Amino acid sequence: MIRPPRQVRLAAHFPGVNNTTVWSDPESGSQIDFDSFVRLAQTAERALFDFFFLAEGLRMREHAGRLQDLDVAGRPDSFTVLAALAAVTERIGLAATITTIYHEPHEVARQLASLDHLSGGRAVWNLVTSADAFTGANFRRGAYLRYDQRYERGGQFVQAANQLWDSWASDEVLADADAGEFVRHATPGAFAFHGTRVDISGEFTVPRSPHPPRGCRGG
Amino acid sequence: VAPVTEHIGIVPAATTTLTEPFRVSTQIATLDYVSRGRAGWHAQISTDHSDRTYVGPRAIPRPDAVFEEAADHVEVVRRLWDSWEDGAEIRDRATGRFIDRDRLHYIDFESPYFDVKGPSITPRPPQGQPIVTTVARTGAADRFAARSADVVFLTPRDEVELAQRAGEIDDALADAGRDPALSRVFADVVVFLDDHAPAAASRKARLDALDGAVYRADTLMFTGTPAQLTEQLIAWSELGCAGFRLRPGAVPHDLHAITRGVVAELRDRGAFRREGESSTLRGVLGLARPANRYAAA
Repeated sequence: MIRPPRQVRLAAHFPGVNNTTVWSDPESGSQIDFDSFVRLAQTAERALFDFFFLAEGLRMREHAGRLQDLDVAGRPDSFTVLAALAAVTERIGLAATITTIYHEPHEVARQLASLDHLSGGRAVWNLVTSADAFTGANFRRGAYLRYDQRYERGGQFVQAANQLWDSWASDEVLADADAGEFVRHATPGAFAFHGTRVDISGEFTVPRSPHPPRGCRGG
Repeated sequence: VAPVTEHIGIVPAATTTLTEPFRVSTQIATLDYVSRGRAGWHAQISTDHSDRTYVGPRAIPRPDAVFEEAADHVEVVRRLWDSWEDGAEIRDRATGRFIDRDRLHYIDFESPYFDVKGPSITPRPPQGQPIVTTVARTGAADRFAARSADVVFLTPRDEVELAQRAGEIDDALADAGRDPALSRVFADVVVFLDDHAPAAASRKARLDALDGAVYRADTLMFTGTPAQLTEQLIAWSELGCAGFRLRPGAVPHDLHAITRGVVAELRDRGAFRREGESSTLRGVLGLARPANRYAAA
Protein backbone atom coordinates (compact mmCIF):
# COMPACT_ATOMS: atom_id res chain seq x y z
CA MET A 1 0.00 0.00 0.00
CA ILE A 2 1.33 3.43 -0.90
CA ARG A 3 1.13 5.84 1.98
CA PRO A 4 0.15 9.39 1.00
CA PRO A 5 2.94 11.90 1.76
CA ARG A 6 2.75 13.92 4.91
CA GLN A 7 1.12 17.26 4.32
CA VAL A 8 3.63 20.10 4.35
CA ARG A 9 2.85 23.61 5.57
CA LEU A 10 4.26 26.71 3.87
CA ALA A 11 4.71 30.26 5.12
CA ALA A 12 5.94 33.28 3.15
CA HIS A 13 8.56 35.57 4.68
CA PHE A 14 8.79 39.10 3.27
CA PRO A 15 12.37 39.44 1.97
CA GLY A 16 13.17 42.95 3.06
CA VAL A 17 15.65 44.26 5.56
CA ASN A 18 18.75 42.25 6.53
CA ASN A 19 18.11 39.48 4.08
CA THR A 20 20.56 38.57 1.38
CA THR A 21 18.35 40.43 -1.04
CA VAL A 22 19.89 41.15 -4.41
CA TRP A 23 18.78 44.75 -4.42
CA SER A 24 20.95 45.68 -7.37
CA ASP A 25 18.84 43.47 -9.65
CA PRO A 26 16.70 45.79 -11.80
CA GLU A 27 13.74 43.53 -11.04
CA SER A 28 14.04 43.95 -7.27
CA GLY A 29 11.05 45.92 -5.97
CA SER A 30 10.63 48.40 -3.15
CA GLN A 31 11.16 47.16 0.40
CA ILE A 32 8.82 49.82 1.81
CA ASP A 33 6.01 50.58 -0.69
CA PHE A 34 2.75 48.95 0.33
CA ASP A 35 2.31 47.50 -3.18
CA SER A 36 5.25 45.14 -2.54
CA PHE A 37 3.52 43.70 0.52
CA VAL A 38 0.20 43.36 -1.28
CA ARG A 39 1.83 41.53 -4.20
CA LEU A 40 3.64 38.99 -2.03
CA ALA A 41 0.73 38.38 0.35
CA GLN A 42 -1.76 37.90 -2.48
CA THR A 43 0.64 35.61 -4.36
CA ALA A 44 1.18 33.48 -1.25
CA GLU A 45 -2.56 33.40 -0.63
CA ARG A 46 -3.26 32.21 -4.19
CA ALA A 47 -0.76 29.39 -3.60
CA LEU A 48 -2.64 28.44 -0.39
CA PHE A 49 0.24 29.24 1.98
CA ASP A 50 -0.58 29.12 5.72
CA PHE A 51 0.69 32.56 6.62
CA PHE A 52 2.54 35.72 5.59
CA PHE A 53 5.33 36.63 7.99
CA LEU A 54 6.99 39.91 8.95
CA ALA A 55 10.18 40.12 11.00
CA GLU A 56 10.92 42.89 13.47
CA GLY A 57 13.98 45.12 13.86
CA LEU A 58 13.84 48.14 16.11
CA ARG A 59 17.24 49.69 15.52
CA MET A 60 19.18 50.39 12.33
CA ARG A 61 22.13 48.02 12.15
CA GLU A 62 25.65 49.34 12.59
CA HIS A 63 29.09 48.08 11.68
CA ALA A 64 32.19 49.39 13.44
CA GLY A 65 30.20 52.23 14.99
CA ARG A 66 28.66 53.45 11.73
CA LEU A 67 25.32 52.72 10.10
CA GLN A 68 25.49 49.66 7.89
CA ASP A 69 24.97 50.96 4.36
CA LEU A 70 25.37 47.91 2.12
CA ASP A 71 22.22 45.93 2.96
CA VAL A 72 18.57 46.64 2.38
CA ALA A 73 17.34 48.95 5.15
CA GLY A 74 14.10 50.72 6.00
CA ARG A 75 11.08 48.71 7.09
CA PRO A 76 7.49 49.51 8.02
CA ASP A 77 5.67 48.74 11.27
CA SER A 78 4.28 45.21 11.10
CA PHE A 79 0.85 45.79 12.71
CA THR A 80 0.05 48.67 10.38
CA VAL A 81 1.01 46.72 7.25
CA LEU A 82 -0.81 43.56 8.36
CA ALA A 83 -3.98 45.49 9.30
CA ALA A 84 -4.02 46.96 5.79
CA LEU A 85 -3.28 43.56 4.21
CA ALA A 86 -6.30 42.16 6.06
CA ALA A 87 -8.45 44.33 3.77
CA VAL A 88 -6.96 42.97 0.54
CA THR A 89 -6.58 39.26 1.45
CA GLU A 90 -9.16 36.69 2.55
CA ARG A 91 -7.62 33.52 3.91
CA ILE A 92 -3.89 33.79 4.60
CA GLY A 93 -2.61 34.09 8.17
CA LEU A 94 -0.94 37.41 9.07
CA ALA A 95 2.08 36.98 11.33
CA ALA A 96 3.88 39.74 13.21
CA THR A 97 7.11 39.30 15.13
CA ILE A 98 6.79 41.21 18.39
CA THR A 99 9.38 41.30 21.14
CA THR A 100 8.16 41.16 24.72
CA ILE A 101 10.88 43.50 25.87
CA TYR A 102 10.31 46.92 24.32
CA HIS A 103 6.54 46.82 23.92
CA GLU A 104 3.72 47.03 26.46
CA PRO A 105 1.54 43.90 26.83
CA HIS A 106 -1.71 45.88 26.93
CA GLU A 107 -0.86 47.72 23.71
CA VAL A 108 0.32 44.55 21.93
CA ALA A 109 -2.73 42.57 23.08
CA ARG A 110 -5.02 45.33 21.80
CA GLN A 111 -3.31 45.52 18.45
CA LEU A 112 -3.22 41.74 17.95
CA ALA A 113 -6.88 41.41 18.97
CA SER A 114 -7.76 44.24 16.58
CA LEU A 115 -5.80 42.55 13.78
CA ASP A 116 -7.66 39.33 14.55
CA HIS A 117 -11.02 41.15 14.27
CA LEU A 118 -10.04 42.97 11.06
CA SER A 119 -8.81 39.78 9.42
CA GLY A 120 -11.59 37.51 10.63
CA GLY A 121 -9.35 35.40 12.87
CA ARG A 122 -6.06 35.36 10.93
CA ALA A 123 -3.64 37.05 13.37
CA VAL A 124 -0.43 35.21 14.30
CA TRP A 125 2.10 36.33 16.88
CA ASN A 126 5.74 35.32 16.50
CA LEU A 127 6.92 35.76 20.04
CA VAL A 128 10.53 36.76 20.66
CA THR A 129 12.40 38.00 23.71
CA SER A 130 15.58 39.33 22.11
CA ALA A 131 16.87 42.18 24.23
CA ASP A 132 19.97 44.26 24.14
CA ALA A 133 21.04 47.71 25.21
CA PHE A 134 21.70 48.64 21.55
CA THR A 135 18.01 48.36 20.61
CA GLY A 136 16.98 49.69 24.01
CA ALA A 137 18.51 53.05 23.13
CA ASN A 138 15.39 53.75 21.07
CA PHE A 139 12.97 53.11 23.96
CA ARG A 140 12.20 54.70 27.26
CA ARG A 141 12.40 51.37 29.05
CA GLY A 142 15.91 51.40 27.70
CA ALA A 143 17.40 48.83 30.01
CA TYR A 144 19.15 45.61 29.19
CA LEU A 145 17.62 42.58 30.85
CA ARG A 146 19.71 39.58 31.90
CA TYR A 147 18.87 36.27 30.22
CA ASP A 148 16.76 34.98 33.13
CA GLN A 149 14.98 38.35 33.50
CA ARG A 150 14.17 38.40 29.80
CA TYR A 151 12.34 35.10 29.98
CA GLU A 152 10.64 36.14 33.20
CA ARG A 153 9.29 39.21 31.41
CA GLY A 154 8.45 37.17 28.30
CA GLY A 155 6.48 34.64 30.32
CA GLN A 156 4.55 37.29 32.23
CA PHE A 157 3.93 39.24 29.02
CA VAL A 158 2.27 36.20 27.42
CA GLN A 159 0.25 35.37 30.54
CA ALA A 160 -0.98 38.96 30.69
CA ALA A 161 -1.86 38.98 26.96
CA ASN A 162 -3.81 35.73 27.35
CA GLN A 163 -5.68 37.15 30.33
CA LEU A 164 -6.63 40.24 28.28
CA TRP A 165 -7.84 38.14 25.34
CA ASP A 166 -9.92 36.01 27.70
CA SER A 167 -11.33 39.02 29.57
CA TRP A 168 -14.42 39.24 27.34
CA ALA A 169 -16.62 36.13 27.37
CA SER A 170 -17.55 34.98 23.87
CA ASP A 171 -21.21 35.80 24.61
CA GLU A 172 -20.51 39.14 26.32
CA VAL A 173 -22.03 41.32 23.60
CA LEU A 174 -25.83 41.13 23.80
CA ALA A 175 -26.74 44.16 21.64
CA ASP A 176 -30.31 43.71 22.87
CA ALA A 177 -32.15 46.87 21.76
CA ASP A 178 -35.46 45.86 23.41
CA ALA A 179 -33.88 45.38 26.81
CA GLY A 180 -31.54 48.35 26.25
CA GLU A 181 -28.53 46.21 27.08
CA PHE A 182 -25.41 46.12 24.98
CA VAL A 183 -23.11 44.01 27.15
CA ARG A 184 -23.79 41.35 29.77
CA HIS A 185 -21.65 42.78 32.56
CA ALA A 186 -21.21 46.31 33.91
CA THR A 187 -17.45 46.28 33.31
CA PRO A 188 -16.55 43.75 30.62
CA GLY A 189 -12.84 43.27 30.09
CA ALA A 190 -11.78 43.87 33.70
CA PHE A 191 -8.24 42.58 34.15
CA ALA A 192 -5.44 42.59 36.70
CA PHE A 193 -2.02 41.01 36.32
CA HIS A 194 0.51 41.64 39.06
CA GLY A 195 3.95 40.25 38.27
CA THR A 196 7.53 41.32 38.87
CA ARG A 197 8.08 42.34 35.20
CA VAL A 198 4.51 43.07 34.15
CA ASP A 199 2.11 44.84 36.51
CA ILE A 200 -1.08 46.09 34.89
CA SER A 201 -4.80 46.41 35.59
CA GLY A 202 -7.83 48.08 34.04
CA GLU A 203 -10.51 47.29 31.50
CA PHE A 204 -9.69 45.75 28.11
CA THR A 205 -11.76 47.51 25.46
CA VAL A 206 -11.55 45.00 22.60
CA PRO A 207 -14.27 42.33 22.58
CA ARG A 208 -13.10 38.73 22.25
CA SER A 209 -11.66 38.17 18.77
CA PRO A 210 -12.44 35.18 16.52
CA HIS A 211 -9.24 33.23 17.25
CA PRO A 212 -7.08 34.99 19.84
CA PRO A 213 -3.48 34.47 18.67
CA ARG A 214 -1.61 32.25 21.10
CA GLY A 215 1.81 32.82 19.58
CA CYS A 216 4.47 30.75 17.94
CA ARG A 217 7.84 31.13 19.56
CA GLY A 218 10.94 32.48 17.90
CA GLY A 219 14.34 33.30 19.39
CA VAL B 1 -9.18 51.09 5.97
CA ALA B 2 -6.39 52.67 3.88
CA PRO B 3 -6.49 50.16 0.97
CA VAL B 4 -10.25 50.56 0.52
CA THR B 5 -10.31 54.40 0.50
CA GLU B 6 -8.62 56.92 -1.79
CA HIS B 7 -8.94 60.51 -0.60
CA ILE B 8 -9.88 60.74 3.06
CA GLY B 9 -7.29 61.40 5.76
CA ILE B 10 -6.85 58.67 8.39
CA VAL B 11 -6.03 59.91 11.88
CA PRO B 12 -5.78 57.33 14.68
CA ALA B 13 -5.53 58.48 18.30
CA ALA B 14 -2.65 57.38 20.50
CA THR B 15 -1.81 58.61 23.97
CA THR B 16 1.54 60.27 24.57
CA THR B 17 1.48 59.33 28.22
CA LEU B 18 1.56 55.56 27.82
CA THR B 19 3.20 54.89 24.46
CA GLU B 20 6.73 54.75 23.10
CA PRO B 21 7.46 57.58 20.64
CA PHE B 22 9.55 55.18 18.54
CA ARG B 23 6.52 52.94 18.00
CA VAL B 24 4.09 55.79 17.35
CA SER B 25 6.53 57.31 14.87
CA THR B 26 7.01 54.12 12.85
CA GLN B 27 3.32 53.18 13.00
CA ILE B 28 2.12 56.55 11.71
CA ALA B 29 4.91 56.64 9.10
CA THR B 30 3.78 53.19 7.94
CA LEU B 31 0.15 54.32 7.79
CA ASP B 32 1.39 57.18 5.61
CA TYR B 33 3.02 54.66 3.24
CA VAL B 34 -0.02 52.37 3.23
CA SER B 35 -2.42 55.30 2.57
CA ARG B 36 -0.05 57.09 0.16
CA GLY B 37 0.21 60.27 2.18
CA ARG B 38 -3.08 60.45 4.08
CA ALA B 39 -1.92 59.71 7.64
CA GLY B 40 -2.23 61.81 10.76
CA TRP B 41 -1.84 61.20 14.48
CA HIS B 42 -4.25 62.46 17.13
CA ALA B 43 -2.01 63.01 20.15
CA GLN B 44 -4.00 62.37 23.32
CA ILE B 45 -2.74 63.21 26.77
CA SER B 46 -3.88 61.17 29.76
CA THR B 47 -4.47 64.00 32.18
CA ASP B 48 -6.65 62.20 34.70
CA HIS B 49 -4.28 59.26 35.23
CA SER B 50 -7.19 56.81 35.11
CA ASP B 51 -5.33 54.67 32.59
CA ARG B 52 -1.91 54.76 34.23
CA THR B 53 -2.34 51.16 35.41
CA TYR B 54 -2.40 49.97 31.78
CA VAL B 55 1.38 50.00 31.67
CA GLY B 56 3.89 48.89 34.19
CA PRO B 57 5.85 48.52 36.19
CA ARG B 58 6.74 52.07 35.14
CA ALA B 59 6.75 55.57 36.59
CA ILE B 60 4.19 57.94 35.08
CA PRO B 61 4.84 61.70 35.14
CA ARG B 62 2.97 63.77 37.70
CA PRO B 63 -0.29 65.25 36.38
CA ASP B 64 1.29 68.70 36.04
CA ALA B 65 4.09 67.28 33.89
CA VAL B 66 2.09 65.29 31.33
CA PHE B 67 1.97 68.12 28.80
CA GLU B 68 5.71 68.67 29.09
CA GLU B 69 6.17 64.95 28.47
CA ALA B 70 3.69 65.10 25.57
CA ALA B 71 5.67 67.90 23.89
CA ASP B 72 8.86 65.83 24.20
CA HIS B 73 7.00 62.79 22.82
CA VAL B 74 5.85 64.66 19.71
CA GLU B 75 9.32 66.15 19.27
CA VAL B 76 10.83 62.63 19.27
CA VAL B 77 8.21 61.39 16.80
CA ARG B 78 8.82 64.35 14.47
CA ARG B 79 12.61 64.02 14.63
CA LEU B 80 12.33 60.31 13.81
CA TRP B 81 10.16 61.13 10.75
CA ASP B 82 12.98 63.42 9.57
CA SER B 83 15.81 61.04 10.54
CA TRP B 84 15.95 59.70 6.98
CA GLU B 85 16.38 62.43 4.40
CA ASP B 86 14.40 62.11 1.19
CA GLY B 87 16.52 60.17 -1.24
CA ALA B 88 18.63 58.49 1.46
CA GLU B 89 17.95 55.18 -0.29
CA ILE B 90 20.41 55.42 -3.21
CA ARG B 91 20.77 51.80 -4.45
CA ASP B 92 24.16 52.75 -5.88
CA ARG B 93 25.43 49.72 -7.75
CA ALA B 94 28.84 51.23 -8.45
CA THR B 95 29.75 51.45 -4.75
CA GLY B 96 27.44 48.67 -3.54
CA ARG B 97 25.68 51.02 -1.13
CA PHE B 98 21.92 50.70 -0.56
CA ILE B 99 21.67 53.82 1.58
CA ASP B 100 23.73 56.99 1.87
CA ARG B 101 24.42 56.95 5.59
CA ASP B 102 25.31 60.64 5.55
CA ARG B 103 21.62 61.27 4.86
CA LEU B 104 20.49 59.29 7.91
CA HIS B 105 20.63 61.01 11.28
CA TYR B 106 20.80 60.06 14.92
CA ILE B 107 18.23 62.16 16.74
CA ASP B 108 20.00 61.88 20.13
CA PHE B 109 16.99 63.16 22.08
CA GLU B 110 17.50 63.35 25.83
CA SER B 111 15.06 64.73 28.38
CA PRO B 112 13.73 63.71 31.79
CA TYR B 113 11.14 61.61 29.95
CA PHE B 114 12.85 60.09 26.94
CA ASP B 115 16.29 59.05 25.72
CA VAL B 116 15.94 58.07 22.09
CA LYS B 117 18.90 57.48 19.79
CA GLY B 118 17.44 56.92 16.31
CA PRO B 119 17.48 56.93 13.39
CA SER B 120 14.07 55.48 12.59
CA ILE B 121 13.77 52.02 11.06
CA THR B 122 11.21 53.48 8.63
CA PRO B 123 12.25 55.85 5.83
CA ARG B 124 10.78 59.39 5.78
CA PRO B 125 7.04 59.02 5.10
CA PRO B 126 5.41 60.35 1.89
CA GLN B 127 4.13 63.54 3.55
CA GLY B 128 7.48 64.15 5.22
CA GLN B 129 5.69 65.04 8.41
CA PRO B 130 2.25 63.42 8.79
CA ILE B 131 -0.37 65.67 10.37
CA VAL B 132 -0.45 65.89 14.19
CA THR B 133 -3.76 66.83 15.80
CA THR B 134 -4.82 67.39 19.41
CA VAL B 135 -7.68 68.75 21.52
CA ALA B 136 -7.02 71.92 23.52
CA ARG B 137 -9.18 72.73 26.57
CA THR B 138 -6.76 74.43 28.98
CA GLY B 139 -3.83 76.82 28.97
CA ALA B 140 -1.32 73.97 29.25
CA ALA B 141 -3.05 72.18 26.37
CA ASP B 142 -3.01 75.41 24.32
CA ARG B 143 0.74 75.72 24.76
CA PHE B 144 1.24 72.07 23.80
CA ALA B 145 -1.05 72.42 20.77
CA ALA B 146 0.68 75.61 19.64
CA ARG B 147 4.10 74.04 19.87
CA SER B 148 3.36 70.54 18.61
CA ALA B 149 0.17 70.22 16.55
CA ASP B 150 -0.85 71.03 12.97
CA VAL B 151 -4.58 70.79 13.70
CA VAL B 152 -6.15 71.91 17.00
CA PHE B 153 -9.65 70.79 17.98
CA LEU B 154 -11.56 73.22 20.23
CA THR B 155 -14.61 72.46 22.33
CA PRO B 156 -16.31 75.85 22.88
CA ARG B 157 -19.80 75.91 24.43
CA ASP B 158 -21.03 78.88 22.42
CA GLU B 159 -19.91 81.22 19.68
CA VAL B 160 -18.53 83.81 22.07
CA GLU B 161 -16.25 81.17 23.52
CA LEU B 162 -15.38 79.93 20.01
CA ALA B 163 -14.10 83.36 18.99
CA GLN B 164 -12.27 83.77 22.30
CA ARG B 165 -10.62 80.33 22.16
CA ALA B 166 -9.57 80.78 18.52
CA GLY B 167 -7.91 84.04 19.58
CA GLU B 168 -6.16 82.33 22.48
CA ILE B 169 -4.77 79.66 20.12
CA ASP B 170 -3.44 82.44 17.87
CA ASP B 171 -1.76 84.01 20.90
CA ALA B 172 -0.26 80.68 21.95
CA LEU B 173 1.06 80.14 18.42
CA ALA B 174 2.69 83.59 18.51
CA ASP B 175 4.24 82.81 21.91
CA ALA B 176 5.60 79.52 20.52
CA GLY B 177 7.05 81.31 17.52
CA ARG B 178 4.86 79.31 15.13
CA ASP B 179 3.44 80.77 11.93
CA PRO B 180 -0.39 80.77 12.33
CA ALA B 181 -0.62 79.99 8.61
CA LEU B 182 0.78 76.54 9.37
CA SER B 183 -1.93 75.66 11.88
CA ARG B 184 -5.60 74.79 11.43
CA VAL B 185 -8.26 75.22 14.12
CA PHE B 186 -11.31 72.94 14.05
CA ALA B 187 -14.34 73.22 16.35
CA ASP B 188 -16.22 70.17 17.63
CA VAL B 189 -19.99 70.27 17.10
CA VAL B 190 -22.50 67.64 18.28
CA VAL B 191 -25.41 67.59 15.82
CA PHE B 192 -29.00 66.32 15.91
CA LEU B 193 -30.51 66.76 12.45
CA ASP B 194 -33.86 66.28 10.75
CA ASP B 195 -35.64 67.65 7.69
CA HIS B 196 -37.85 69.73 10.00
CA ALA B 197 -36.40 71.50 13.01
CA PRO B 198 -39.13 70.40 15.45
CA ALA B 199 -38.50 66.78 14.45
CA ALA B 200 -34.83 67.12 15.34
CA ALA B 201 -35.71 68.69 18.69
CA SER B 202 -38.23 66.03 19.56
CA ARG B 203 -35.82 63.27 18.57
CA LYS B 204 -33.23 64.68 20.94
CA ALA B 205 -35.93 65.01 23.63
CA ARG B 206 -36.85 61.34 23.14
CA LEU B 207 -33.17 60.30 23.53
CA ASP B 208 -32.92 62.46 26.68
CA ALA B 209 -36.03 60.75 28.07
CA LEU B 210 -34.57 57.32 27.35
CA ASP B 211 -31.36 58.31 29.11
CA GLY B 212 -33.23 59.93 32.00
CA ALA B 213 -31.20 63.13 31.73
CA VAL B 214 -30.84 66.07 29.38
CA TYR B 215 -27.75 65.48 27.24
CA ARG B 216 -25.31 68.35 27.42
CA ALA B 217 -22.27 68.14 25.17
CA ASP B 218 -18.81 69.31 26.24
CA THR B 219 -18.81 71.50 23.14
CA LEU B 220 -21.06 73.32 20.65
CA MET B 221 -24.35 71.54 20.08
CA PHE B 222 -26.76 72.01 17.22
CA THR B 223 -30.32 70.78 16.81
CA GLY B 224 -32.16 71.61 13.56
CA THR B 225 -32.14 71.04 9.81
CA PRO B 226 -29.10 70.44 7.58
CA ALA B 227 -29.74 73.80 5.91
CA GLN B 228 -29.79 75.62 9.27
CA LEU B 229 -26.60 73.86 10.36
CA THR B 230 -24.95 74.86 7.10
CA GLU B 231 -25.74 78.55 7.71
CA GLN B 232 -24.48 78.20 11.26
CA LEU B 233 -21.20 76.53 10.20
CA ILE B 234 -20.52 79.25 7.65
CA ALA B 235 -21.16 81.90 10.32
CA TRP B 236 -18.98 80.13 12.88
CA SER B 237 -16.16 79.73 10.35
CA GLU B 238 -15.91 83.55 10.27
CA LEU B 239 -14.90 83.45 13.94
CA GLY B 240 -11.47 81.95 13.38
CA CYS B 241 -11.85 78.26 12.76
CA ALA B 242 -10.92 76.55 9.52
CA GLY B 243 -13.25 73.61 9.91
CA PHE B 244 -15.47 71.47 12.09
CA ARG B 245 -15.41 68.01 13.56
CA LEU B 246 -19.07 67.03 13.43
CA ARG B 247 -20.09 64.46 16.00
CA PRO B 248 -23.38 62.76 15.03
CA GLY B 249 -25.76 62.76 18.01
CA ALA B 250 -27.09 59.35 16.96
CA VAL B 251 -25.60 56.92 14.45
CA PRO B 252 -26.52 56.21 11.68
CA HIS B 253 -29.35 58.80 11.49
CA ASP B 254 -27.31 61.96 12.02
CA LEU B 255 -24.34 60.62 10.08
CA HIS B 256 -26.54 60.16 7.00
CA ALA B 257 -27.98 63.64 7.54
CA ILE B 258 -24.43 65.03 7.45
CA THR B 259 -23.17 63.11 4.41
CA ARG B 260 -26.39 63.55 2.39
CA GLY B 261 -27.83 66.81 3.70
CA VAL B 262 -25.15 69.09 5.11
CA VAL B 263 -22.52 68.32 2.48
CA ALA B 264 -25.00 69.06 -0.35
CA GLU B 265 -26.09 72.31 1.33
CA LEU B 266 -22.48 73.45 1.77
CA ARG B 267 -21.77 72.67 -1.89
CA ASP B 268 -24.85 74.60 -3.02
CA ARG B 269 -23.36 77.61 -1.24
CA GLY B 270 -19.93 77.04 -2.77
CA ALA B 271 -18.45 76.37 0.69
CA PHE B 272 -17.26 72.79 0.23
CA ARG B 273 -15.24 70.99 -2.45
CA ARG B 274 -16.92 68.79 -5.04
CA GLU B 275 -13.97 66.52 -5.70
CA GLY B 276 -10.71 65.57 -4.04
CA GLU B 277 -8.31 68.47 -4.57
CA SER B 278 -5.25 66.69 -3.29
CA SER B 279 -4.21 63.11 -2.72
CA THR B 280 -2.49 63.84 0.61
CA LEU B 281 -3.88 64.98 3.95
CA ARG B 282 -1.41 67.87 4.08
CA GLY B 283 -2.57 68.90 0.63
CA VAL B 284 -6.25 68.77 1.60
CA LEU B 285 -5.49 71.01 4.59
CA GLY B 286 -3.50 73.40 2.42
CA LEU B 287 -0.24 72.66 4.23
CA ALA B 288 2.94 72.24 2.18
CA ARG B 289 5.30 69.29 2.56
CA PRO B 290 7.88 70.61 5.05
CA ALA B 291 11.62 70.66 4.51
CA ASN B 292 13.63 68.12 6.48
CA ARG B 293 15.17 69.64 9.62
CA TYR B 294 18.34 67.58 9.11
CA ALA B 295 18.87 68.25 5.41
CA ALA B 296 21.66 70.66 4.51
CA ALA B 297 20.13 73.84 3.17
